[in-house]
Amino acid sequence: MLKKFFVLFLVFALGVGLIGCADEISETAEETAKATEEVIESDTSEPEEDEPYLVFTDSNGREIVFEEAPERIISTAPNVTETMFALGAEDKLVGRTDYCNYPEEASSINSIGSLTEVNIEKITELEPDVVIAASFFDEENIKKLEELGIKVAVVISQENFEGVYENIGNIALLANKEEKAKEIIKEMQDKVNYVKESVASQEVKSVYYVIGHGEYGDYTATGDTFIGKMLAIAGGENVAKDATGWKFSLEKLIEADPAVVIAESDESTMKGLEEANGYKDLTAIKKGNFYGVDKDMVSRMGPRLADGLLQIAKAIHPEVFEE
Amino acid sequence: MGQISINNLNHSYGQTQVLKNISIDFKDDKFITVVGPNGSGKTTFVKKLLRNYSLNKKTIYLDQKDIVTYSSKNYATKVAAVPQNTDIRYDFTVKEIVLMGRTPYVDRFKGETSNDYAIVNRVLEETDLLPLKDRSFLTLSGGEKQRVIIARALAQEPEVLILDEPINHLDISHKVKIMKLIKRLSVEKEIVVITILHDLNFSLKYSNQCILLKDGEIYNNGHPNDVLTKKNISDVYNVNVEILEYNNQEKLIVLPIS
Amino acid sequence: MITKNNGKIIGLYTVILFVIIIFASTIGVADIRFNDALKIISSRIPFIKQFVNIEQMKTSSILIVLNIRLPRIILAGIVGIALATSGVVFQAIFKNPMADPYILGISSGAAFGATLVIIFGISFSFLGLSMISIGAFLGAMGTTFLVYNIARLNNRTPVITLLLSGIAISFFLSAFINLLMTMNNDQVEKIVFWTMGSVSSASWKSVAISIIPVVSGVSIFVFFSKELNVILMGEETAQNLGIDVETIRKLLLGVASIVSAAVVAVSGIIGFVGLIVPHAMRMIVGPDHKRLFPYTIISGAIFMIIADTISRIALNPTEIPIGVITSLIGAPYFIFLLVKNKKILS
Repeated sequence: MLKKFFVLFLVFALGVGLIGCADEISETAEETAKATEEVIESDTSEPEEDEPYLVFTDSNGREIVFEEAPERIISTAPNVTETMFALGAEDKLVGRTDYCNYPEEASSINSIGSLTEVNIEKITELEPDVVIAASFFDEENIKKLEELGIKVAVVISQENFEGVYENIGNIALLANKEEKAKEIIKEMQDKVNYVKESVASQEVKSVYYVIGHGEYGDYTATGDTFIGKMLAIAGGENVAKDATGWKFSLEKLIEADPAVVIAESDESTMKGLEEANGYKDLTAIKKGNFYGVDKDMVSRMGPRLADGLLQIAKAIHPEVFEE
Repeated sequence: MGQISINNLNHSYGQTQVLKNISIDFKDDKFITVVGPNGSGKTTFVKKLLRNYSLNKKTIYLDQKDIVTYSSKNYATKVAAVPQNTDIRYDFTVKEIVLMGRTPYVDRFKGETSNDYAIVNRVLEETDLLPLKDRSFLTLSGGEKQRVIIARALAQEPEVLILDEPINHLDISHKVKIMKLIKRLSVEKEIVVITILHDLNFSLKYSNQCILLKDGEIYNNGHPNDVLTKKNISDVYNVNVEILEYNNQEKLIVLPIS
Repeated sequence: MITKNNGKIIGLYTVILFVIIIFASTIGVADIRFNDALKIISSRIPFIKQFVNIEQMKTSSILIVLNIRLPRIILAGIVGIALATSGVVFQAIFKNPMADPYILGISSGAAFGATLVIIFGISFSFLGLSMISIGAFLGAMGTTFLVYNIARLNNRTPVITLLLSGIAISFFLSAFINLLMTMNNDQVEKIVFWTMGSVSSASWKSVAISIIPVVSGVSIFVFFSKELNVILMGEETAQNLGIDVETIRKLLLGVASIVSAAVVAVSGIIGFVGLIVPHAMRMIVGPDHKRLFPYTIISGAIFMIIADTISRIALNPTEIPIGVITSLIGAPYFIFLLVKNKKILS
């Protein structure tokens, strides 16, 4: 009997308590609502002080709001790093990947990992205002960083010169170097036009671009790749233009016997090609129409891309580009 | 021929001594059975004789020569083995398997000679295997398989034939057939036959020398009638048996009813 | 089971091999007519060549058939012979029809050696051999040596210990390779391509270099055919028949390892050949090594040449690594043989 009474009493007490709390909560809510209204009202009366510095739309169409100009920027790809340096914004660069090897000064900046494996802790430690994510950056990592309150701007270009210019422009926007960007883009456009004009009057030459050979497999810049397209811009007929997916056949190559062979040069590749079975009998190799180009210059969607095109053009039409 | 002399044979597995100072002599014309409880050292004894286990010098002599000094090939022309398990999983024919018994004799470059084939045929005949000679070994019955292995050992033309429990897994008809065969061969070919047996009655019936092992030592050695007595069996096996006599001097060991 | 007219059958089989070689060289990605390819090959055969005129033919066609196709077809054949005969030896010594040449760690050792070379970017050649081949060979031999010594106890190497040692080391090396790949992301493609196995970089030089160890090794195997037969009866039985099992085992395993390592170094890791060709041949011609070896040699070569031909043309112009083809053909074919022989095996 006593027990039952005790339980009832507890329930009663709890009920009263809750009702009391509820009253209090709704009171607080009312106050907050009033306060917010006041804030909003005061907002509309002073617009300029509270407008963000930049609302950036990244390559994925997301809008990122920057209250202030980003002063601490992390690059997650070599082309982004190169662009930052070219824009003269390297003092804002606080992080880069292991693969960012150009310019040399980049090595003095903290590394945050490789292209595909970045160290989230390291990034967080560096307290960036924005992380510029490029094509290899993992979706998962973007989410993780944003959960930690770090802004990530995805900057990926289409694989062509227009895309590169857009890239440079976007990065310049974040780094507050829009004027410099215009200069760089203009320089690149001039170089590209120079190449186009110079080769216009020349006969198109057949060309093969070696990316891998021998035990590593026969890889080339097939027609669907950007390098493949650059070969065409530079006045060459890509022997592998109908192939896709970077793979080619040694037999087809020997059959085609191109006039020019270009390799992504390091000394050992070049030397190896001269001795490689099949390659060594190519007319281009035997006659010495065999040139190396800088792999990074040619494949990075960055400020040096036009120089890469120039290298390729010089290889295909050396007579035209005597300086 | 076939004179075996054993002096102080010992063997240990790790800390356990399995054979203790075994000394014994065998002469030809002997059909010797080695008996004893499980773990008494029978198989170890036989493997030492076959040189499957490592051996000290000056322990076992065959024809007055230390067996350690024989080359593998040479020894194989003198001592042949019929192991307990014939775990052959490849379908060689009966003839091919028996021919392997000629391995220690065949010259690498000359290959098998007509003499080798003649010996194989003879041995197949002696073991009643001629009709089966082109059959795959895997298709034979247990008894037939055992005969093939015996035939292979005989093809080695040995002076000593060593068998490890050759009739354990055979039915009684085959048990008798094989024991009779071995007995006959031991007499006809004048080879020393040493066989491990579990069945004491077969020892009584067929062999003329019996070695009773207990705990790695020779408990008794002599004619089976004298070795396999009620007392010895009780001492070694811890079993009380009755020995019945029949046919004037033939003995039979039976288990009492209680 | 083939027992009669053995010599004639082997002779015929060998002729079939040569016909397949010639046919394979007429097949390829390049646009070369069948007749032209035949002419090109004939221009190299001693008696026939006087009747053949190839002066009018395109240089590229001649180069392709003689310098690209033929060497790789022959190299494929050599690799097939090496792996299949080594497989026979491993299966006999381990008395296990599931054994293959890689169980003592050759494949992981070779992959490890190759991975190191790729990662450190060493790419010069030495005596016409690329560093990657040398690295793979050294890796393979080093691993076998290590596996063997771990299992060795007083000059004897019990079979089970050898097997376990091989498995353990293989796992360790595979893990290590994965670690290296994680740390060198940009080289992963090269490493994976190499390990999948390919004869695409074959040249007459690589044929010349690989033919020496393979021919010597296979001759040694055949020389010990009789002993291998007896060893199948059991180690103790073989000992009792006068065979020095331990020495022969060491010798044959050593030679089989060198032969396998030599071809793995040149062509990457090609699986299944060393497992199913000996097994299939044993089902067809029986366990006697005197018969098994000749048939295995020819079958190994034919199998690899057909696999290589498929790898060249199936996804024109992309080449499928030959290791993939051998597994894709090998497994179903083996199942077919198993089903057909179910009764006999039970």
